[in-house]
Amino acid sequence: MNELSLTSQWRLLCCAALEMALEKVTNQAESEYVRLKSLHGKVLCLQLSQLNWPLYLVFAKKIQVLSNYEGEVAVTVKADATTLYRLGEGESLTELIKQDKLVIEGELSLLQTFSHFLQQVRFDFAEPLSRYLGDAPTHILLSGLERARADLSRVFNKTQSHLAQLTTEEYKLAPHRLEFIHHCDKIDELATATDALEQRLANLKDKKSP
Amino acid sequence: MSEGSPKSTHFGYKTVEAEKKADLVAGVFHSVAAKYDIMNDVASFGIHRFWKRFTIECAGARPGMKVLDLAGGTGDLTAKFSHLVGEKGQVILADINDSMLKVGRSKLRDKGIVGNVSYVQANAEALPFPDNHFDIITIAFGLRNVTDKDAALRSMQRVLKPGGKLLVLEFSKPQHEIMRKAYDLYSFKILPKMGQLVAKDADSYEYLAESIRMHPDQETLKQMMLDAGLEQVDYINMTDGVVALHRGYKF
Repeated sequence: MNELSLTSQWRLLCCAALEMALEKVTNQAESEYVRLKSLHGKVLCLQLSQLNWPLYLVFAKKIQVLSNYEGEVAVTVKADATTLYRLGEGESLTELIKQDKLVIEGELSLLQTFSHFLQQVRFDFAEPLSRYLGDAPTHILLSGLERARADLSRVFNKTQSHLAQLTTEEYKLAPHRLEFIHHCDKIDELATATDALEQRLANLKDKKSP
Repeated sequence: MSEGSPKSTHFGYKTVEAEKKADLVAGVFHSVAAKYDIMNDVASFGIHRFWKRFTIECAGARPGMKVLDLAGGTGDLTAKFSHLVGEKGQVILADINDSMLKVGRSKLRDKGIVGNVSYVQANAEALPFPDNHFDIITIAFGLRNVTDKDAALRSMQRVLKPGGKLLVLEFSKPQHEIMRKAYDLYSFKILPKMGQLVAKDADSYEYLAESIRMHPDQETLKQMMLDAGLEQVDYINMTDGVVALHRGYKF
């Protein structure tokens, strides 16, 4: 009963991880973060639909992340994690609010400032890595990874098109794209023809009945 | 807590004169101050960060609050509180040991934590603060080393504001036999060797292990806090009771 529950341990771990990540990010853009005077001393509450507990971001010299905060919260954001990701990718805040993907209570400007800041900062993995590995190995490693990623995506795209050709051309398991579109068009035509016929029948009926 | 004759107390498993305990404890911390942080990480496998993070969450610090981090050592909790209470708040890092206080002060200054933090060398048994002064008092891994724990708790109760909160993070009694065995093996056999290796001081870590065993268990400490005049006292075990966080309020 008195033991710290697993869920709260998990919460603490999440908060710690997020706090560390944010610390790394702000360290790389220290001067930008310091300039965000309007943010300092404010608290942002994030309620992600994936988590059943809120995350509180306390903006101080370093961003503090808590799962439990009793003080005054400047802005509360209810959203999906994917929505937040899209926000980070540069999608406009107002657009997301219009689509009801984002519910915001409180100071909108605070969220705007913070999301703008995150968009500006692109995390550079080379910076921290080079301290451990040295500059040249880091460059080799990262460019190697980038190449591997490009190769993999090429292989993936090729396989996809091969499989598509195999099913449509070789084994004729699935129709070709154009065939399918043609088929859909035909169905539409049939539907309009049926509607027209129905209309005509109804008209004839009307004529006959009185 | 009974400590043999009124003038003697325990220092680890040894019994010493009450006046001497403070000096002996001071010796331990003078000796480990420089390596205190790294030794904490090594000895607890980094879990102490987790215990402290939970303490911060329980404290519920808000902007403008006055916080006393008692026996704050090298200032882990103070750093966090300093961010949370903001410019209008105040955090006081108090420790009886000036070596620890110096290490803490230089560490916090290097991190750029200045402005709302003050440093006070103080004995927990007679805190040099006015009555009803603090919103939150924390004492993390410090109460164990205090000679007269009841006096210390009473003193904390005195300087706490009505509605204020006292948090005592301290080693306690593991709840399961198997954990107790593993813990004993670790702290008596392995920990002193680690202390020798990292901090070049096995005796201090032997003292640490012994003093943990002599510290009152969860229920006893809870009763001591109630006796000191705190209310709604409860505790939460962490890592199967190796560490417990006691909470008490003053109304």
